[in-house]
Amino acid sequence: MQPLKNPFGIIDPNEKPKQYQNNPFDIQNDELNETIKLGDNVANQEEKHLLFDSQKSQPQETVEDLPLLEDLDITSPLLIKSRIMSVLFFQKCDSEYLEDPDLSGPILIVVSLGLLPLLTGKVHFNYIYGIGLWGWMLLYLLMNFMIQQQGKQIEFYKILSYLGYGLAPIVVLSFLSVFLQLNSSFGYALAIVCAFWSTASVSKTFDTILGLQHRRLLIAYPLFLFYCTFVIITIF
Amino acid sequence: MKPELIPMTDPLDFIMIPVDQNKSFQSRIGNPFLEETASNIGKKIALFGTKYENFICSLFSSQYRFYFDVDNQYILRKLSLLHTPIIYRGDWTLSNETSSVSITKNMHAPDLYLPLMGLVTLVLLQCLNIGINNAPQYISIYMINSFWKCLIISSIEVALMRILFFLFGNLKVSIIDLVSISNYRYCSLTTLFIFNLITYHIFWTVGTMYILLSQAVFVYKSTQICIEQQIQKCENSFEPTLALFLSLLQVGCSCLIFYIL
Repeated sequence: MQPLKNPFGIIDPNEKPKQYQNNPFDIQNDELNETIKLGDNVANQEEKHLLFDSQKSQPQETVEDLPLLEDLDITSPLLIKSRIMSVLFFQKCDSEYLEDPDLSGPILIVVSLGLLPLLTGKVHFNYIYGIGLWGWMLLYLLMNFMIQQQGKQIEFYKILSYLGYGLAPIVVLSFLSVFLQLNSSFGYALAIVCAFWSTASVSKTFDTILGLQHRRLLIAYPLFLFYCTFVIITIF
Repeated sequence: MKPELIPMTDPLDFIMIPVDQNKSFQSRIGNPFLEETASNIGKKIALFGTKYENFICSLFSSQYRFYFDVDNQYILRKLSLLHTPIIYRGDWTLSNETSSVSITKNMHAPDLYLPLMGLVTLVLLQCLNIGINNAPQYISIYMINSFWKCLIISSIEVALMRILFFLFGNLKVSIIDLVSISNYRYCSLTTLFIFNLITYHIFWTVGTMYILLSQAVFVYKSTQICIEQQIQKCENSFEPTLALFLSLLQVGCSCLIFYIL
């Protein structure tokens, strides 16, 4: 009676299977007495070294494990953070933001702008959203009318994205209003600084897109008025 | 005797039935009426999207864009003209060569940028004043109410101006031009407000009188331009009277706005 063979052909448990002696991926054919080595069927033999070869040393684990979000290609939190930082610290915004802006960051900013006054006992959700909506529509019409080159337009969502990210300094002011009394000289000065801060960062973005260098002040002024509205709501 | 094989059917077999990808969406729904309705709705949505895009393109490339074709020099010259029309010694005519091309070359051409910015600035300054002095908790309501009241008064004034133009010889003047001419007042009123804040209302009476007079002169001269453009088509001997009525209307509406704000 022949001893039972397991699928791997191991009789002696201490003996290593033949097909695993050299390379675990090499195929051993005992009948034809040949070994089909890994990479023999690769069209481009130069790429053979990319396959696992037992003669070479085992590759070391030099690739650091990517964070889970990056591994899953979910980069929204990182994008939002980088864009808010570019607004707050006047960093150069990436071309991807100019061409394909997102709305998740502005939504987050506007919601926080509505939630922070709750800590001071003020409920301004309707005014923030209503004034923001009207201001956004008026600025959309104004910007597009001021672009004199025919065929050049800015879409609705792009303006909303730029304006929304520009509210980041106003959120900072709103956060400070929780701890400080802004209805004072210091508060007014801080409010003006925040309004200018927002205006400067957003007008830089519009200037880059519209290319109206000789009308930068004319574009900055309506933006200043837009952000002053939110500053007034935040202070009072 | 072999037992009869009872065919076993899995009730969830339909999940594993492969779907024929070549079949169109319509034939998958099953109901032809629903298919037709869904396709009609889809076509209407697509048509609406195309119409909206065409409308937006035509709006931004229409004549209305000329009312926003402003630059820094035009703004400065216009503001100086608004505040000092009495001492202005230049020509108040609107050149036919430049009227349809660009307003930056002609200071007397109407625009909509300055009136809009003037209105918003005035409302925000009033809100700031109230917030600092009186009742900060009603700022948001006051802001919205003031804005809408100013818009309503302006629209009533434009309607009255249009009626007056119709009564005095059936003159056809563009509504946008009337909106522009009548709403330059907000720039003057903003200046008056800032002046009163700086001088602590000491020269309130003098400042107000001067601003109202400047507005009246500006509207008088500007409406003469509109009338002269129409007067080439038909004779009109009521030109000075009409311009006077319009300037008085402008002063009355400015006082009303002052009272409301």
